[in-house]
Amino acid sequence: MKNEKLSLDKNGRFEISLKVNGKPLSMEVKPSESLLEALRKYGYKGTKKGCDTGDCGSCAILMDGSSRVSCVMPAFLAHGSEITTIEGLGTVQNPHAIQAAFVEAGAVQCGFCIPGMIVSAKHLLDRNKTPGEGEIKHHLDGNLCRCTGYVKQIEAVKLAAKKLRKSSK
Amino acid sequence: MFFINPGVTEVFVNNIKNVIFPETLKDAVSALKKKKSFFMSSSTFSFKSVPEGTENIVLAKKLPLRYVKKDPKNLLIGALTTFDDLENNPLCRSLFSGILSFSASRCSSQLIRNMATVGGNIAHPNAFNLLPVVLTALGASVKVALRTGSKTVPVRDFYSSKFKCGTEAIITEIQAPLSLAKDDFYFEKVSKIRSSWDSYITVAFRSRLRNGRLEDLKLAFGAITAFPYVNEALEKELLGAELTPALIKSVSAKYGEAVLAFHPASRINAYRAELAANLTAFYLKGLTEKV
Repeated sequence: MKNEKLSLDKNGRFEISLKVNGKPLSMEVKPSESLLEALRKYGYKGTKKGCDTGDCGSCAILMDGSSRVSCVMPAFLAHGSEITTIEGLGTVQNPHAIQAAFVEAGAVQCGFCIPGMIVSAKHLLDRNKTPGEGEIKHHLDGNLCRCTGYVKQIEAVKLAAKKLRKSSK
Repeated sequence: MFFINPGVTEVFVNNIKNVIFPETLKDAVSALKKKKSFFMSSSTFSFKSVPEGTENIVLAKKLPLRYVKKDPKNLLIGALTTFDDLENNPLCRSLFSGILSFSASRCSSQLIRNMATVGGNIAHPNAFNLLPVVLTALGASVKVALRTGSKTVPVRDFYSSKFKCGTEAIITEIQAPLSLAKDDFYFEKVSKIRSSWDSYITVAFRSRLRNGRLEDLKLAFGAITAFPYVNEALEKELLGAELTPALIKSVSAKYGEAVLAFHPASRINAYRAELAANLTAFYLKGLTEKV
């Protein structure tokens, strides 16, 4: 079988194919471009650029179902993957249960870290419908907030879990 | 030269012209034969290790190397297994007192544990890499694929074997001997915050007692040098001996002195030395209570 290969085009870019929020997308990316930069370039600006070193979690996305930082990941690595960004979870008019829970719990202050937090929480709640406080803290340990501390956000994840359990009944 | 993460990661990606996605190990090794090729696992800071002038990236993404299983002699861990996989795998949780699972849970943050792979953590020596320390205590071996075939070497000899990981060699599997699975294990990472990647010290200890004496022992220390630090002379002092308070005190102090000797002028290293001595004493004292 012939192995798949990406080659630079005449403009010095790779053309990668991926799915973003369920929609097939073709992106032109430079070899040096991070997935975060590529996503933002293509309009997915809910994914935030914070530390740019993989430490703060504000750039978190779901890649093939698991939460990851996109700032230290070369964009070409996402070729063939399914990406979910915060825009893929819900809208202002129709928020996802986790987004609604963050608002209800008063877990949002400046809001910069929240997309990453919600994406991390989504990964956790996808695999554990009844996480304990320890598990929530462990799972969100890569998402830093510099406004509020973490109490409200942990409460928000608990509330989201409750909402999701209720809606699945 | 391009800095993807200014001030942190210096990378050389300007010359990259092709990215290849091999589906078999044979194809991956074959792709590396091409000049200026470099193998990358699928994860976090791989760009750090891309050599200048690299034109072809051979990406591990599609290789079938993400597994944890047992054969009659070893626990086998594929190189693309992530830290999150290790943390949650039932075999890793139950064998070796769960040290593989617990230590994986102490590696950086969840977002990184979802990406960072076993192979990537071992491929290039770094004082803060967790797995080399743990695997040294476990007496594990590393299997690598080379252009000339495959080779399996004990973790403690891996870095001195001078494999050129990424350009000539690909780590494919970790093999941890099940004969040691019921030994006593201990892991501790002392770091500023729980989710930090680096640490003041990381220790992984293994021992087996028989008739109140140490029949087998491995004390591995990380965050001190680029390779796990092991002192075989001090281990010999403990093997077969009765673990008296005097012996524990003397050996622990010697570990502290040995660690301090690496960077005597550094205040952080003085703290490391104290931690090395205290953690050793704590572990050995705990063993005497099991007798």
